[in-house]
Amino acid sequence: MSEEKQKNPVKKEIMRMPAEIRFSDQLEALKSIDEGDKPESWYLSPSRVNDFIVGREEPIKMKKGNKTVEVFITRKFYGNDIMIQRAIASLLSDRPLLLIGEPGTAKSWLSENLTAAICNNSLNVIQGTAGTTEDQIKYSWNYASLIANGPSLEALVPAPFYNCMKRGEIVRFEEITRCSHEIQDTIISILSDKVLAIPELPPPNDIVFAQKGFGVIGTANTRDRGVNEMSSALKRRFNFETVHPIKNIKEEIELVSKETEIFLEKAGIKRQPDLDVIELIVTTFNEMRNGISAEGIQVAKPSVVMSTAEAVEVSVNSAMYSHYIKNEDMNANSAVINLVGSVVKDNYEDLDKLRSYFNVIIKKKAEDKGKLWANYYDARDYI
Amino acid sequence: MPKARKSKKLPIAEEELNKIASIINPSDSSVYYFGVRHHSPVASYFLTKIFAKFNPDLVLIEGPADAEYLIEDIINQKSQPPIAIHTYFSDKRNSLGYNGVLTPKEEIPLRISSWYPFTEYSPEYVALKLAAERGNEVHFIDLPLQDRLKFEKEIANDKSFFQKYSQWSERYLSESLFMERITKKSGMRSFNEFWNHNFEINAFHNSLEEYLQRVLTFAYTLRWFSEQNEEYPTWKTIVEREKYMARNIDYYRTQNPDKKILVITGAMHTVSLPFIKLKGKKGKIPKEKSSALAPYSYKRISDLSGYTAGIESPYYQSLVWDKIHQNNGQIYNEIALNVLINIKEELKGSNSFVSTADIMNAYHMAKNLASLRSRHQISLEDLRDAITASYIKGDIEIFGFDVIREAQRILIGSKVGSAFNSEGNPLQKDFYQQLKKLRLPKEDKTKNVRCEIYKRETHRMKSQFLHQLHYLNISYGKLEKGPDYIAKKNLELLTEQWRVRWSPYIDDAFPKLLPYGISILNVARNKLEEQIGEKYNSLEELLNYLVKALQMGFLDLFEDLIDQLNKRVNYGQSFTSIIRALSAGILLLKYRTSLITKYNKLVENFVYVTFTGATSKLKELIQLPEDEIEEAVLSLRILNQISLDYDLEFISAEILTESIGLLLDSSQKIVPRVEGAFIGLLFSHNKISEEEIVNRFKGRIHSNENIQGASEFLIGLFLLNKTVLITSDKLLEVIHTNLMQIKYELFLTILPGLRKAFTSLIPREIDYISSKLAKLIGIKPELDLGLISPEALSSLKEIDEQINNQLQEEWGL
Repeated sequence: MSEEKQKNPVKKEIMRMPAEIRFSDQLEALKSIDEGDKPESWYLSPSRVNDFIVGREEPIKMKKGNKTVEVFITRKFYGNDIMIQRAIASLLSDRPLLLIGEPGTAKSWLSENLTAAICNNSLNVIQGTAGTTEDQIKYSWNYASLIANGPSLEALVPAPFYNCMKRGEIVRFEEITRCSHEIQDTIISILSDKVLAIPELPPPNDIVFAQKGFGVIGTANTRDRGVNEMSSALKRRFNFETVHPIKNIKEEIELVSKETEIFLEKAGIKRQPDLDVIELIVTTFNEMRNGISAEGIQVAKPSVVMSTAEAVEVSVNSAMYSHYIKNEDMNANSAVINLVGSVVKDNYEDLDKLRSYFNVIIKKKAEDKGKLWANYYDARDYI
Repeated sequence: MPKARKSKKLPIAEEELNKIASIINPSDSSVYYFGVRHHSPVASYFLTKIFAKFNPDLVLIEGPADAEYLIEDIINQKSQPPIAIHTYFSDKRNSLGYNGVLTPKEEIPLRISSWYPFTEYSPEYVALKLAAERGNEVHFIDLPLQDRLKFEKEIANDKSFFQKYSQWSERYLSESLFMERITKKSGMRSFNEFWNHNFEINAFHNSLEEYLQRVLTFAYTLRWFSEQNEEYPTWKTIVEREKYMARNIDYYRTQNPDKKILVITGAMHTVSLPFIKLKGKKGKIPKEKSSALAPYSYKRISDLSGYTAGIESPYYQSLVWDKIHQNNGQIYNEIALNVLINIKEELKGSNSFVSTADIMNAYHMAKNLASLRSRHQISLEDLRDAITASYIKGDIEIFGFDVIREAQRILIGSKVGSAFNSEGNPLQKDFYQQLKKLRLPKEDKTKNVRCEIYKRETHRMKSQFLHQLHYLNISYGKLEKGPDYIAKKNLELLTEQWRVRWSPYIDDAFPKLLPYGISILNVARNKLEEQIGEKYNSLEELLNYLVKALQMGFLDLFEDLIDQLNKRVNYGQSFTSIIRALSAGILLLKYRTSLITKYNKLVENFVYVTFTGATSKLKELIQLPEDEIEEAVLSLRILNQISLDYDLEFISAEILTESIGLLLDSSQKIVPRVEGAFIGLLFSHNKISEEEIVNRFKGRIHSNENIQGASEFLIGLFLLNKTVLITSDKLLEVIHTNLMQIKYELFLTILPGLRKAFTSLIPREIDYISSKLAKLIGIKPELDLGLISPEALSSLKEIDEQINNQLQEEWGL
């Protein structure tokens, strides 16, 4: 690499910015008006954290240089606002918070935004898997340094728990219940005593006391390995919040439209998402997920989750398919084509359920609601 | 929601503020107007302060003027809240115009009962007790029920309006656009939370003047907004009630010029009454006494809070009232901690264990929530949220039931009051009046009563009354014979035969029923409504209630019940349950009478919903557990029969056959009996060929896995359509040929199933099939035995017995 390039590396746009960078202007604006009591180490007061998550109607006026700019605080999470308040209140206490729910209900998204607002850092993440080890949770060693110089702070490779305890920040432990019991239970004593022992090091570095502001937000999926598999000792140390799928169809349409628009913009596609087609997609997801149509007719629920996240995928895929393959705007046909893969995964019975849904429910809507629904019904041949 | 007109800019200008100030500090020191919210402990707290400060001689309360005679009973030592004034109105003159609209016929009057509940912390009750202690004269000054209803009839197009009528209803208040906006703007989730936040918890430490300033400013603004936007549908009633109250106030002032008068009303009236200058006589009250004092319960008050007749969670509020006179300012926090501990104790031994650490965490969390929501202390909502987060260890839908139920139970409370009635038990009076009116015997001797329920109106009323008594377990009459819609027997009968007998023990039944009403009809109706309102009624229970409602004459419950049934069909019901519901719906259609003609459309819709629901459930049949198959196939037979028998636009045989066709075409394994049943069903609609039936049978009998499936297949096939065997020679031939080919040991294994399959045939059909089979295999159908000796006959008989015994022992046949 040339010396010049080393000094001025080309900045490439990253694929996905963490919330504290993506919404830095909003965080800054909230900080500028934040006069509430702030717990130690918190970036914003609890009320402003709440504002960050649920949004504000009125923009915040702040000075930037010589100008006064208006910053709108957008809604980050669509769902139960009271649940957000409870989540914040949990984090104010010394108990960790566990967000549970079906896949695709924005648990990780909420966790990311909460930590962005509370400690301006959402990157203290542990991803729970079957292979997660204690090293990835607490700390590990630079073995070369360890062998060369023996145990020392320099040889220690801190993991998220270590860092957050030191700095008074929040750890995000994603899919905690995917870890083995033994690994899950290694954090029990930390959660109780707020102390991390490092027996390899001599005092005073052999004990890390959690600084004020330290907390944990866990997430767990109730569909695969649910929280049933957590030990009782660990469960009772958490405050639980169930994150439900969005019930309100209008809110869901708004969210899916917004995300589709963002995605298309990022992909450089100039076409606008079609709100009517998005309504078709969201209605399908909503009714199949809830097991009942708006007309009150029972719908057989598929074995898959039918989450909002998947609805966004279908909408985006529909738009991309229409644009790149058909060179047209998204429409009922592209919606159905992309819907099938989302509903029918590894269980072919779901295909029958989807067909049945179209034959009974969509047929009725086509009769009652007119052209777009009729097109949607006609597209059932793609199923 | 009514749409708001463009409203003028809110004028809380100096003039309005001065008006409010003039109420708080009136220039005329002889009358003081005090505004409350019903069942508000903090309002009652400040009321005691005004009693001390103002020192009234005469107290006027927003209560029904025609029930004033009950005041002595209310304050009697033997009456303990919760209690309620129960007022009953029967619109014999059809003044409201709903006879024949909300009742089956114009001759049948609309009956309304209404409640004024009192708890120990209700401002009105506190005022009555304080006035009694002080020896103050006290009066109720509000418009009587029947006059009030005349103004509300224009907006009473909603049947439920009359069903849970509470004269302190704030229903339209909480649904108003103003409340919706102000609640949303404040970040609250409900009107109650808004009220608790602003006028209970955060007002508790105010001075009397500050409190009144808050409450009256809010009341004024709400009133102004509602008036401007005409969104308070009962506005006319409010105006008329205030005129009535204003006249009463003026009357008492005139009669008592030297006395200091305290007027206690809802705050919405308080901001208007001082400015209504009306002179007149004391307000008229109906001659007939139609109110009684009844014991009430916290649970019923909480149920009524669905219509917002005051504040929710009565037991919680009673705790606030008990502590409110302490000088310690942390009463809400203390109550929260006590409630958290109580819930933990109640959950001991359940699956939802709660530790002491959880209590501490919940308490701190509640405090954090209160702080986040800018409250001085923990509110009811903060407490509930803390319980949800700290006590429920898992998915709230799965693990939350016990915790939420206990929390709700504790917060509502189970207290039942006692009511003293100086004029005797009104329910007992009603019973004897009805006996007289309907000419039913009052003798300690069994008598027969015959009711021609379809022909004669008076007989129908008699029948309804007797059914009501039976439902209430008042042992006066027993139905000996008549149409039984629940058991589906004797539906062709047009009369009911009852045996009746009066006994003095009947009177013992009345006191405990009084909380439900002061007439037999109301009690039966309220009890049935309560049962219907239970959250977990099964489909069968709902159907039974439907029949009971019809039998007791509560046709206005019919619509609600059908609505509930429709919803219940769509949630978690098995195929067989839905078929039962469908059968009931068909029965109602088939045996429609003048009683339910009005509701035929509802019944048709119900039949449609159940038919569609059943069709969408067919998928579940293909992999049913063994013990459920028999009932499911029988239910399928009923469904098929309905689709064949009824040519109705909302029963589509095509959807049924199409769904079954799809299931059969899919590659999934189907239980053999169900497969046979599906095939039989399709055959009955000519949707399948003989060849396919034969092929499917062959597939079963040649199966390596499960040859018993062949007999199971035939059981299902013949249950749905045995004519296939009679009409299809090919099938008979294939059955015979294949049975002949299989090994004897295998044949024995399927023999029981085959026997069962063929038991669905009647003797004539067996004969016919036997003849066909005989021809097929080339033997004479008639057996020419010639002369049989007695010895041979005896041997044959023995052999036959042995075979039967063997089948019995080995196969249970």
